[in-house]
Amino acid sequence: MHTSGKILLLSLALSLATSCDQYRLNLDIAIVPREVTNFTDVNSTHDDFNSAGPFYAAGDAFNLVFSTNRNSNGADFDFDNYMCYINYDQVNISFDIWPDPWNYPLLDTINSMYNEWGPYLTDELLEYYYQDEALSDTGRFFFSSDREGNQDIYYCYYSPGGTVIPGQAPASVSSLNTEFEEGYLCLHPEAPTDKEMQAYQEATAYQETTANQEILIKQAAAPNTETCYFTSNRDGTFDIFKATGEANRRIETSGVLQITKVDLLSSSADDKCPYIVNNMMVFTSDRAGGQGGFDLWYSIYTDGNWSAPENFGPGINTEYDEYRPVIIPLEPGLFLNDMLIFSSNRPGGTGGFDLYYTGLNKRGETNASGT
Amino acid sequence: MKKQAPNTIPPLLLIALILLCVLPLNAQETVNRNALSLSAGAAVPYAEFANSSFTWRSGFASTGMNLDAKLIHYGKRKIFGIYADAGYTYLFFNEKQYLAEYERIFEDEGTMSVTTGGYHFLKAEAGFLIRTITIRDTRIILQTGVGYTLCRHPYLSAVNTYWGTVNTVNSDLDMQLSGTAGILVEHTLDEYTGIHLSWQLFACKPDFRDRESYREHTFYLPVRIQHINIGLTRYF
Repeated sequence: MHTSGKILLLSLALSLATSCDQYRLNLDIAIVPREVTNFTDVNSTHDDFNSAGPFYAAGDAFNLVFSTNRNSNGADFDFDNYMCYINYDQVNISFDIWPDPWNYPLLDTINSMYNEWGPYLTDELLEYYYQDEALSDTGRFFFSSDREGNQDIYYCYYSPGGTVIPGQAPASVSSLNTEFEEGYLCLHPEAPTDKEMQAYQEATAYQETTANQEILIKQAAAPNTETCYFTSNRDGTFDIFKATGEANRRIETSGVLQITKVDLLSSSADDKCPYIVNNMMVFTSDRAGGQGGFDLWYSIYTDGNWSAPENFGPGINTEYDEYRPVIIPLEPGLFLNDMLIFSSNRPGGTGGFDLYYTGLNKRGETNASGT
Repeated sequence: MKKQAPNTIPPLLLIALILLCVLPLNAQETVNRNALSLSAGAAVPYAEFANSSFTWRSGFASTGMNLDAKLIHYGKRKIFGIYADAGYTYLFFNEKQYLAEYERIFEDEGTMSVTTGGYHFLKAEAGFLIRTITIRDTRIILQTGVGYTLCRHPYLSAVNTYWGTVNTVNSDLDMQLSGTAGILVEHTLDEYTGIHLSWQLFACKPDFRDRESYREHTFYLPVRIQHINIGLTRYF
C-alpha cells in the first residue's frame, strides 16, 4: 500500500478511536422541578404521609420511610419504606423518580398494632460511612406512637445494615413525654459560627472542605449539647418546642432537658411536624395567613435565631391540608436544588393523604413566591 | 414466507451509469488543464445538526454563509481531475429556538435569557472530479473529497432569573476528518473563464469538551451542511 493510503487509513482509525459517545448538555447540573408531583408509584388508596428521608442523598438514590395505613386496611398507621431512584436527563431536561419497595428490617421491629408516625433518622451513620474513624456505628430512629395511650416520642438504635441493635427495642424518650401528645422530634445540630469553624480548621490543619468533611468539622467544633425540636399540645394547641440535653449526652439519655416553647414559630393555631435540614426548618400549621387548612411554612436559622415563619405560597399550598414536610438534601454539584416531600389530601391523588414532591430553590435560600 | 426484494437498480447508480456511458462523447476541447475556482454562497445545516429542540444530537444550527477556493488539475482528456480545496463556513446558532426550548421547560419559573455565538468551520481537503455532459458550453461536474476541518463550537449560556445560570458550554476547537460530495454546473464564457453553480454536502463529526458542566465531558456533534454556491472558474 502506498504511503498516502496508509496515512489516510490511519487518520480514519484515529478519527473513529477518538470520537466520544456523549451529548451536549442543556443543563450544567440537574434541577428538581418546582412543579408539585404526586408520588403515584408510592401512594395507595389509603393515607400515606409522615415521611422522612436521609440527611444527605449521595448520588441519585435515597430511601424514603413514611407512615401508611394501607397494610392494616385503614386500621392503624405503620412505617413502610421505598428506595427511590432519581432519573434526570440533562439533555432533554426531564426529572422523574422511580420508587422501589425496599425491605428495611428495622421497621419490622418498630411497627405495632398501634399507630406509628413522624419517623426521623439521625445522620450518625453518615459519619460511619464517610469517615475512617467512625464516631458512631449506630444510628437513631425517632418516631411517635400511641402504643401507651397518648402519642409519645420513642427511639431505637439501629446498625448500618438497617436492623435494630439486639436487646435494644424501641424505648420512650421519657424526659420529653408528658400526659399530653408529643411527636415529630427532629434534631438541630447547632452549627458553629464561621469564626469558630476557621479557628478549628487552623488548629487541626483541616484544609479540605468537601461536603462530608465539612459535616465532620462542624460536628467537632459544635457545642457538646444536643438540641431537638418537637410538637406538643401541652399548652393547649399544638406548638413547637425546643429541648436541649445535658452536656456530653444525647437527647434520649439526658435525664433532664431544658424545654422551652418557641414562641416565634408557634401560634394560637396548631403548629406541627418541625423538620430541620441545615439552616432551614419546615413545618405545618393551620394558622391565619395560609391558603386554607394546614399549610407548609418555613423559617431560616441565622445567627442563633429563627426568622419569622413564611408560607410556601400557592405553588405548594392549597385550600386542602398539606402536612409533614421533609427536605431531602441532594448532592451539591449533582443537583442545583433540594427536594421537598410532603403529604396532602388535595383532589387528584390516589385517595386519602398522598405523598408529593417538589423542588426547592437554591440551597439555603427559599423564595416562596418564585419571583 | 419472506418476500424477495424487487430486482431494481438504485436511481443514483442508474444516473452514474448513464453519465459514464456518455462520457466519451464529451471530451473537452479547451486547451488549459488547470483551473482556479472561487465561490461563495449559503450554508444550510440539515439532519440533526439543524434540529432545534432538546434532543440527543441537536445542533441548533441555522443558515449561514461559506467561501470556497479550489485549485483543479484535469487529466489529458479533461474528463477526470483532482483538486485541492480550502473553505470557510459560518453558521448561526438558532438563538430564538434555543431560548424557546428553555422557556418551554421552565415555563413560569423566572425569565430566561440566552447568549449564543456561531459555528465556524475551516476546511482543507483534496479530492477528484469528473466532467460529464456538456450542452451548449454548459457542463455538469461531479466531485468528492476528504480532508480535515477545524471546527469551533460557540459559547453558550442560559440564565434563569429564578435558578441562576442553568447552563454554560464553553467555546472549543476540534480538528476532525471531513468529507464532501457535490455536483457543479459550469458554463464557460470563453476559453479561460467560466461561471458555476454548485451544491455540496459536507459532513464532519467534531468532538468538543464541555468544561463548565458538573461532570466535565466530551461530546460530539454530527455536523451536516449543504453548500449552495455560485462562483467563477479561471482556466490557466
